[in-house]
Order: sequence, then C-alpha cells, then structure tokens
Amino acid sequence: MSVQPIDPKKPDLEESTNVAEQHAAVTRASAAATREQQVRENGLEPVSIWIFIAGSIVAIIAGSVLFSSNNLFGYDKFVKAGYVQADEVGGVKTVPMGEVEAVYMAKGASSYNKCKGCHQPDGKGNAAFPPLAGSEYVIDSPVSVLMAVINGVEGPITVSGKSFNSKMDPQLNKSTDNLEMAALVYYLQNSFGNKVGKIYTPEQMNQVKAMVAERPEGLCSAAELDKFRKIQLEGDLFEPGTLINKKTGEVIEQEK
Amino acid sequence: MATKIPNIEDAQLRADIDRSLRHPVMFFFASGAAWLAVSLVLGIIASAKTHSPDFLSCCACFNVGRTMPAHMSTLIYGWGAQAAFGVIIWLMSRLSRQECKKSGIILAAGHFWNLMVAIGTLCVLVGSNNFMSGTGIVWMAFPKPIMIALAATYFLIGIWAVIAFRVRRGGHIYISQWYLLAALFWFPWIMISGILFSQIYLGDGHPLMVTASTAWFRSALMFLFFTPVAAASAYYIAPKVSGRPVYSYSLAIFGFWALAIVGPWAGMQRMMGTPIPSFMQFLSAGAAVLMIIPAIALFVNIIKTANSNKDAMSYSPSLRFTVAGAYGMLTFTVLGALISLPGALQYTQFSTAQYGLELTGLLGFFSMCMFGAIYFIVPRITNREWISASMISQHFWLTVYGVTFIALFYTLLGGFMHGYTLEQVGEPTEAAVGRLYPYAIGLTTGFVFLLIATFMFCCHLLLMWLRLGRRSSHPTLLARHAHASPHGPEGDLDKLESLDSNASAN
Repeated sequence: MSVQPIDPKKPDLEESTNVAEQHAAVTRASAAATREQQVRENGLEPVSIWIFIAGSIVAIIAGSVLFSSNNLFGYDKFVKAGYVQADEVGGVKTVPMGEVEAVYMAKGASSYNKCKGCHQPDGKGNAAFPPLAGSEYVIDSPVSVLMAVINGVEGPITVSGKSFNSKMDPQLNKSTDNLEMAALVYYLQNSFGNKVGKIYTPEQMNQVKAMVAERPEGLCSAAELDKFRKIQLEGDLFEPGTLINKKTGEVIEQEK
Repeated sequence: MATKIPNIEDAQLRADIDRSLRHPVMFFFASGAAWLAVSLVLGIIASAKTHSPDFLSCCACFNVGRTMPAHMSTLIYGWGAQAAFGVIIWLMSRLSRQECKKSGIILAAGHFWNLMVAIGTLCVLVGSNNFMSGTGIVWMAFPKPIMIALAATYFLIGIWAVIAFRVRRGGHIYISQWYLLAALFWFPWIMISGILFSQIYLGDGHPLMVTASTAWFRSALMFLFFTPVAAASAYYIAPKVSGRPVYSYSLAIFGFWALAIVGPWAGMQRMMGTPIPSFMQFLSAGAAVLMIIPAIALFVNIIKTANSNKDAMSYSPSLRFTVAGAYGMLTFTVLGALISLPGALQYTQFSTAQYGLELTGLLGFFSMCMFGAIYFIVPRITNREWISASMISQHFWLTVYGVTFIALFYTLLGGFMHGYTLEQVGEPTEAAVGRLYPYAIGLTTGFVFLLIATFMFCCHLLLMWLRLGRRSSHPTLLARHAHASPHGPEGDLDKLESLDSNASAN
C-alpha cells in the first residue's frame, strides 16, 4: 500500500501534495473508517410528556413496593406475617407419618450405610469382621447390639461359632436420637435373614443410655457383651402397624 | 448538517486507532464468541437434564450440579466480560481520540484471562475436592484463586481505557464515555466486594450472608457492568450509523444518573422472607421496579434516534442488533420488576423465573448490544468486510427467536407455573418438576436456536479473524438491492490498489 503520511501543517493546495491521490489512497487503506459518519451529540429534542408520566407511574409503584413492608427497621419482625408457608391445611395439622415398621426399616437402612464397609451390605461380614446375620449378639437382646455400637468392641470374640479378633470404634454416642437407635435395632434384628420382630419404642432406649452411663468408659470386651446379651428391655413394645411421626417418633392417635 | 466530504485527517486518525487495537479487540471478540458457544452447549446439557435425566448420564461431569455453574460462569466471564472488554477499550480509544500504545499488555492479559476461565471451568466440571474445587456459589462458581486472578487481571485490561480517557483529545465528554468510565470503576468494586464478602470473610460463615451478598453481586454485575457497557455501545452505534444526533441528550444524561443511583440498591429482593433486615429486601424490590426508568430513557433515545433514519434501520446489521438490544433492555427491566414485586416473589423467589430473567438480561439485552458493536467494529479493525449478509441476518433472527422464547415462555409463564406448584402445601416437589417439564423442553429448544446462531456468528468471526473477509469499499448490508446503499457503487479494493500501484509505477 502506498499511503503517504499526511502532514497536517501543509495546506491542501501546496504543490507537492497530490490531494486527490492522497484522498483516494487513504480511502482505500481505511475504507470503513473513512465512510463512517461523525457522531453528532447534543440532540435537544424536548422530552415527551409521556415519558414523565411513565416514569411517575413506575416511581409510584416502586414507592408502594417499598412501603408495603409494614416494618422497615423493626428488627424483631423480620418475616412478614402471612408470608411463611403454613403447615396446616384447612385446619388439619399435617405431619409426616408412616407405619412404624416401614419408618424404622428406612431409618435403620440409612444408619447402616456407616456399617456396610466392614459388615458388608448383606450383613455376612468377612474374614476379619464378624457377621450380623445370625449373630447371637444381635438376635438375643437389643442391649448387647447397642452397647457394641455405642461403646465399640475390642478383643477376641466368637460369633456364630467362628472366632474373630478385631476392633470396632464407637459408632453412636449417648446423645444419639432415641428414634435412630430404636430404628437401628429393628433394622439389624429384621434384616439379613434375622427375624426377631420386636418393635422397641424410642422411650425404651433411655434404659440403654442409663446402662452406658453406669459402665466405665472404653471399648467393650466379649465377656461384657455376653453379660448384656442376657438383659432385656422393660416396658411395652409398639404394636405392628402403629402410625408414628417420621421425625419425632411420637405415636399418632387415629380417630376411630 | 453532515458534511459529505470526508475529513481525511480525521479518517486517518480513526484508522490509526483501529489499527493500534486490532489484536486485543479481535482476540476478545473471537474468544468471547467461542466461550458463548461453549456456554450454550453446557446450558443445553444442564437444561436437558431437567427434562431427560438420563441424557449423558455416563459421566459425573455432565451432572446438572456441574454443568449449570459452568454454563453460567462461561457465559459471564467467558463471553460477557470479554465482549465488554473488547467494546470498552475500542470505544474508549475512539471517543477519546487516542491510539492505544499498550495493546501488547492488553493482549497478554486477555490470554491470561482466557486461561483462567478455562482452568476454572475445568475445575467446576471435574469436581475436584481441594482448594481448586468449584465454590458452588452462583455466578462465582470458579475456585477462589481463579476468581482472585480474574479480578487482578482486569486491572491490566481496564487501566489503559482509563488512561485513554485521562489523556483524551477534545473537550466534550460524550454520554458513552460516561457509561464506559462508570463501568470501568464499578466492575472492580463489584468483583472485589463479591469475592471478599461471599468467599473470604464469609466463606466459612453463615450461608445466609453468603446468599445475600451473592444476590447483590449478581444484580450489581448485571445493572452496573453489563448494562452500562451495553448502553455505551448503543449510544455510540445508534447515532453513528443513523447519522442523526442522539434524540435527547439531556434524557441520556438523566438515564445515566438514574442507573447510577438506583442500580446499586437492587438485588436483595431475592432474600425476601429471610432473617435479614426487612428494609433491605423491600428497598431492593423497589429499586428493581425503579430500574424501568433508566431503561425507558435508553429505549426512547435509541429507538427515536434510529427511527429518524429508516433506511439505516433496514440495511445496517449493527443498528438492527442495537435496536433489538434496546427492546431487550425494556423487556428485561419490566420482567425483572414484575417478578420482584413482593406479591409475585412468593411464586418467583425459588422458581426458574430468576434464572430465566438472568438469561433474558444477558442474552436478550447485553449480548444483542454487543453483537451490534462487534458487527460495527470488526470490519474497521480487520480492514475487511463481513462475508455474508444472509449469515448476519440468520444470526439475528435465530437469536431473537431463541431469546424471546426464553423470556416469555420459560421465564414468565414457566417461572410462575413452577412457583405456583411449589407453593402448594402437601404437593410433593415432584409435582413442581412435572409442571416444569414443557418449559424445560422450551428452554432447551431456545438454547438450540441460540447455539445455531452463535455457531454461525463464530464461524463468520473466525473467517474475519483469519483476514478472509471481503476487500471492498462497500460494507456488508442487509438490504438486498445495491441501490439502497448510501455508499455508492461497490468497489473492489484489491483491484483499485493494483491500479493505484500501476499508476504510481508508471
């Protein structure tokens, strides 16, 4: 491209500059920039009254939105009344509920996820870890199985006629929810081929917690678990088919 | 009135400015368009997952929990920010009449920005579980180090536009410069506040506070960065292409100040009903409604200016996209006000309406204005003309169709339907998902239209980048008949140049 730099000081009619040629060269070298139009600023058209009217309507709506909060700076009333979803429909309190066996099995299965790694999904155990299927410590009493889970187990132990020697750390603790403990017992006693069928109530779990508080801290031995195997829980069991609240474990009274 | 004789020195200066910036600007546009395509592909996967959960279920990286934040992040930091940077540095240099002397640094920073976005997107998709894991915070899903690196890189890009403004020639500051300068200062403010509050101070703190500061961040980035850049571009393109002055300059200035005053207050309406002080939520809802006022100012000015030259409206791709962007701005703010009304928030707060609104703003308003600017700028910096008018036309109509579909069908109808079903006590959430089914398919369809449009746009832009554009004295216009052109008969530049050199050789 043969574009000569233009010296702005030179008047256009100075003889050494071929004006037409220069113009043509620049026009070609930067065709797009040359043909574009100047931005003309400062259009002074009067602003239509309709724009003011539209703006005022918007401002009025915005103001009404702002002041629809009854309590702009009342830090006690953060939530506007009537906004939160109610848990009552037509005056009837709706609670999540289900039959106790189904609720316990679902809750227990979810707790068992922690145990799967060693005791296996089918509860049969492996060479190092004892089975839960057919285990006397699981079937004989809810106390022995919960003591094992809450305190942990250490040392040689014989389960279903086979001997094991491994260690289990505590998996639950004294503050664990009663409902979760009762559900776990039901799940372990009625899965993997075990068929005990007793449905313990969350209240009965307080007896187990009392026993945990009485014994010294530390992991259980096989001898200690054998002692717990002989203890049964006192009190009434749940009837099969009882409706309970899925969250609290409370019995739902049914209207006859 | 306009003088028809081109001022040759002025043209030379403009051409020099264009040439000084051609590498960084072209890089920002081309890589931005590529990220837009990536983002739409990810958006299609995420959207398809909501109506066909088994789609691409082979690999965890296609889970909606990963594709969705990756889709949004690439849309914002890959396409949005880069398109905005390209427009900012070019427009600021042009309006300040200063060549850019540091285009090498901007280009290097642009490469680093792209690298960071690429690494961030990969981290989000891979789902690693260490300091480079995605944050899961909407609009800030990239790992924390990446977000900090992006904010730092911005200074290397933005500072040169501020310097160009500082050493500007000519006394008058045009409205686009107001908007650009504001965007240049607001962007780091928003980025740094967003990173500090939702990732550093509160990263391990209360999730409610993280949600609240992110709600503000999203709204502020939209209203105080993407909006002013798009407005600056519209206020430049409309008078420039139509050759008419801005309809009412005082209305333009009023629109700027209305945006500056109202914009920062919006955002917290998404927290309606949460235990943050209630004035924040209601003030933000009011601000979201008030945003219609700057939108009206922009809309009226752009439409009136463009309409004063009906011919230009029919043949100029830049003007057509910009006018569509002005309609997008009005739609976006009216839709935003509608779903932010306290009565409506009951239905829209947790529904798809919020996501649809973000898409409407980013694609229907901001992107439209950016496309308009890109169709104007690229022929100037490459010295080539766009290859095919029909490709531009198809890009326009497919984009308009896709965005309109998303805005009206998915955001408005789908958002309220979804929210209404979510509000029904006792109905399982499944019912709401079921209600969303047709709208989710609608969103995927809209995305497919946008993806086809973007694919054509990307190819077109890539060919221009490879300097394969037409060498002509005549721009690529949408009008079918050459006599409609205001630029006279078409001339082949290569032919003219060879004649020219022959003449001088003789």
